Amino acid sequence: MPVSSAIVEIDEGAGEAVLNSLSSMHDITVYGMKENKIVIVIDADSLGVIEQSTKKIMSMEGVTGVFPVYSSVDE
Amino acid sequence: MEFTRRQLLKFSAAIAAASAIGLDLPLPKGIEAAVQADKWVKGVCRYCGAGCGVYVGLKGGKVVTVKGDKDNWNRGLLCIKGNFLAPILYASDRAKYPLLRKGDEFVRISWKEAMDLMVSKFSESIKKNGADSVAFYGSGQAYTEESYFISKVFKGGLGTNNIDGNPRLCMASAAVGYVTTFGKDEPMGAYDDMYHADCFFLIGSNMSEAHPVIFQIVNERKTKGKDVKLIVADPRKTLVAKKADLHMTFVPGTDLAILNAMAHVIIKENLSNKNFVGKHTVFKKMVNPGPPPKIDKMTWDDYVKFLDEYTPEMAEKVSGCPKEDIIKAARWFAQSKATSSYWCMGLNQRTRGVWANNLVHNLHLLTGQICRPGATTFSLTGQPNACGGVRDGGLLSHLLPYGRLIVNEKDREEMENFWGVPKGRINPNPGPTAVEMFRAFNKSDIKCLWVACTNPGQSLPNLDIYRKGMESKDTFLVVSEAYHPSRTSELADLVLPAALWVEKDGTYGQSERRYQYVEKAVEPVAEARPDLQVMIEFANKLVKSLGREAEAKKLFTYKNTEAVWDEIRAASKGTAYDFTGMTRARLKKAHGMQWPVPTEDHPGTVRRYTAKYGDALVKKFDPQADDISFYGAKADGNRATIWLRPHVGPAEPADAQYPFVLTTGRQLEHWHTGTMTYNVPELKRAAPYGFLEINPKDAQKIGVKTRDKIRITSRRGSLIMEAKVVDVPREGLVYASFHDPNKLINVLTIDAFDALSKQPEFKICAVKLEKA
Amino acid sequence: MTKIIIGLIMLVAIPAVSMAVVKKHPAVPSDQACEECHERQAQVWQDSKHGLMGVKCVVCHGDTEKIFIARPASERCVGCHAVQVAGTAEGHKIKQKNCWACHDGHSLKLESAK
Repeated sequence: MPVSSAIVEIDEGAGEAVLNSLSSMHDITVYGMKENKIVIVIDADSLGVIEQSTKKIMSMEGVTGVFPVYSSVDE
Repeated sequence: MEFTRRQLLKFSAAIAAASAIGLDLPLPKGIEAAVQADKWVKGVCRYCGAGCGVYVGLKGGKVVTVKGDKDNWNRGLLCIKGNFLAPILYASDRAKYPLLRKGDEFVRISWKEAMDLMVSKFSESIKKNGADSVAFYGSGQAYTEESYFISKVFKGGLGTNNIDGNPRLCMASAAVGYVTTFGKDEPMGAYDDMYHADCFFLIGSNMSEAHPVIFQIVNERKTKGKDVKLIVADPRKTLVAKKADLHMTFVPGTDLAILNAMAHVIIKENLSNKNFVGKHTVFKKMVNPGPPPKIDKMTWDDYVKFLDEYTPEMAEKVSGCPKEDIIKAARWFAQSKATSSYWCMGLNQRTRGVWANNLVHNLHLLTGQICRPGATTFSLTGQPNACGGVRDGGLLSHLLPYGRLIVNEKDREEMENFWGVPKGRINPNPGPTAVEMFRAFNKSDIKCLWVACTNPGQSLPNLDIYRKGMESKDTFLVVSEAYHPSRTSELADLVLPAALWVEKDGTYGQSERRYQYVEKAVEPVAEARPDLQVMIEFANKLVKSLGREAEAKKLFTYKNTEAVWDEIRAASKGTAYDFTGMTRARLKKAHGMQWPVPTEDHPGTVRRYTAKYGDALVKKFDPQADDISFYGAKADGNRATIWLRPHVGPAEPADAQYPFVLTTGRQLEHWHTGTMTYNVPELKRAAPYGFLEINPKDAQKIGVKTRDKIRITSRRGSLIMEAKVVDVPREGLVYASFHDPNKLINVLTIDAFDALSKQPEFKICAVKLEKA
Repeated sequence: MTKIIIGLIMLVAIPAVSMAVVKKHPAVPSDQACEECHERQAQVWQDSKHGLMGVKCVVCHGDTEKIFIARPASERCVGCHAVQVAGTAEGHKIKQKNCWACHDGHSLKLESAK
C-alpha cells in the first residue's frame, strides 16, 4: 500500500479552486501551502492508483505541475 | 504521541515535501486532533437578541466548549461572546446557597427556611396591605415558561398587575411602536430579508458590536450583492458607520426631524407609493396627550401639509446633518428595489422612542417597502427572550398573553376563563412600569419585591436613588441571581441561587419571531435551582397561605416545563401569534421555528401580513385581502397607521452648564451588566474595564489624552473614568458602556421616560467634563 | 525498506520545523492593548474578515495570563468553524487539521494569494 508525497504547483490565485478540487479526491490529504505550491500526500491501494491520481491532478484547472517528492511501499 | 506506522509514513512524506519548498509544518501533537467534547446538546446563546443557535459540548458532565449551529440562521457563526460561553457556568462567584442578610453580612440558610420566610413576608403584606403591596420584576433573559408562569401567578392568582420586567428599559418603545402602527407587536420580517435587501437603513444601532453575527449577513449582502447601499444614521463613527455608503451624523435626539424630512423629500419628489398608501394605511395624529391620549383621524393632505415645515434645510438646522445626506438617504430609501431598516436602543431608549419607531415605520408605509423579501421595518432586540417571554408572553404590567391588554375587558375575561380564575380577578388597571415600580418601592408603597434574572442595581437610570431604595430596611427585597454578589444581590434581604442557562431547559424567542428550545445540558451548581421550580413552590405555598389551596393545586402545579409550554401554546390559539402547532417535540428537532405556526403541520412563517409570502393568518383574519393585510389593526380596517409625529428633542439636551451629551450603550466584548462576561478570561482581557470615549477635539479642549482620568458629572451624580480619545463620538458627545460593575455609569443617566412606552432615556443626558 | 529509513532520517534531520510548545507571554499590565506591541499583526488583522467581525486577538490567543496560546490548534476555531475543522464543509472538504498550513494567521488569506 504505497504512500507518496508531492508538490502541486499552481497558477497565481488558483489556490481556492485547486484546494476545492483536491478535497473531492478521497485518497489525497492536503498538508499545507506556501506561495503557489501545495503539499499533498497520496495514500493509495497501488502504485497504479497513485499514477492515476497524479494524472488527474495534472489535468485540473489551475495546476501547472505535480512533482513527486517521496514514495514508500508499506510492506 | 501515538502514531500508526501508516500515519508516520504519511507525515514523513509530507515533511519531506514541505521542507523542499520551505514550508513550516509543525510537529503534530497527534495526527488526529483530540476529541474535545463527547456529547453535543442543542441550545441557544445566552446573550443578545440575535439568538444564535449553538451546540453545547460536554465532557465528563461539564460544558467544555460551544459551537455555532450550522443549520440555524447563524450558519454556525458566533460572536466573541458566544464563542466563550462555557466558563460562565463555572465562575467562582456563582451563587451557591440561599443567603439571608444579617446586618451587613449574608448568612447561608436552607431552601426550606428561605421559602418559608419569603412566603410569610409576601403573605403578611398581602393580608395587611392588599395584593398591590407586593411586586415582581422580571427579565428578558428568563425562559418563556418562567415569565408566563409568574405573570399568571401575579395577575391571575393574586389579582395584582405589579409585575414588570427589564424589557421596559430596552424594548418597550419598539413594542408600543409596532402596536400603534400595526395593531400588534413584533417585526413582520425576518433575518432572511437581509439576503434580499438592496438598501439597508440602520439608525440607532451599532450592529457591528451589538449584533455582530447579524452584521456579518448585512456585510456579506453588501459585498456580494450588486449595488447594495448601506445607510447608517449614528452620532458615532462606529465600525458599521465606517462601512456605510452614507453615514448620517447628527446631534443626539434630533433624528425625528431627519425622519420627517426624509418623508418630506419622498413626497415632494413623487417617490411615494400612493397606491400602497391608499390601500393599506390610515393617518392619525395625537392632538392631546391626556392621558388617555386623544387621537384624531387625518388624511393624506393633512400629512403632506404637516410635513411642509420638515424641509431638509430645517432638519439640517435642527440636527446638524447635511441636507444633501438627508435627500440622498430619502432617495435611496424610496428608489431601491427593496429597503430594510434596522434599529435598536438609539431609537428605543428615548423620551420620544415610540414616535421615533413610528417615523421609521412611516417611511416603509409611504414607499410600500414592506412585506416582501428584502423590504421590512425590523426592530433588533437586545435580550435573548424579551420578545418571547416578556412582550409576547405578556409579563409587562399592561399586558396579558399574546397581544391581549389589561385595559381590555374582553381580554381580561378571556384570560380569566382560560386560567380558570373567578370573573373580575384580574385587576383592570395596568400596573406600575419599571421606573414607577422602583419609585413605589422607594416609598414603601410596594413592601415586598422579587427581582429575578436581572440587575437593576446596575441597570436602572438615575441609579443612586433606586439603590438607596433597595437598601432600605423598611422593605423586603428577594433577588434570584446566578452570581453573588451582583450590584443588586448585594442589596437584597434574601438571595436565591439560580440555575443558569443550560442548567435548566426552556424556550427563548429572539428578534425574528423565532422561538427556540434550550435543552438542559448539565446539573445546576451547588444548591442553585431553576427559577420556574422556585416560582412553582412559591406560588403554591403563597396562594395556600391566602386560603386557596385548591386553586393553587389546580392552577400553579406543572410536572415540567413542557406542561407549561403546552398551556402557553393553547393561550396563543386564535390570536395573531398563534403557535399552537409549535410543540416541544417539533422544537427539539427544529433549529427554531418562526410563529405563527397555527397547526402541527405548518412549517412556520417567515414573513407576516402577506399571503403571497406565506402568512396563513391573512386568510383567517382578513379573507378579503389578496396579499397584504395588517390584520392586527382590525379597528382600522386592517390598515397600518402613518403617524403625524412632530419633532421633539430629548428631556435633557446639552446646555451651557452641562455642555456635553452622554450616551450609554454596549461594546462587543461584554453583555449587559457583565456578570457573565467579566468571568471569561479572554473577554476580560480584551476589555478589562469601562472607559469614556471622547472625541479628539473635545479631548484637546479639556486637556486629556487616552488613559488620563476624567471626571464626568450630571445633575444626578459624578464618576471618574479613564478617557479613550478616539475619533468615534462626534464633537459634543461622550460615550460609555454600562457593562462594568465598578463604573456605574447609570448614576449619571436620567430616568425621564417616554409617555407612551414608559421606557427611560438612557441614550441622552447632559454632562460636564473635567480632567481629574 | 531503505526508502522508509531515508524518510525517517529526513524527519529527524530537518532543522527548522517548529514545535508546538506552549510559550509563556511576557508579563504585561492586564489592561495593555495587544496592538501596543503587536502593531504589525494588529494592522493586518484589522483589514481581515476577523477584524471586521470582531474576532479579536483573545479568541485565538487567549488572555496573556491564564490561557496563552501562541499558535492555536484548530480546536480554538470550532466555535464558528466547526464544519471546516471537521473537514465536512461544502467547498472545504480538507482533512488538514492545521488551519495555518493554508491560511495566514492574521490576514486569513490563502498563502498563494499573498
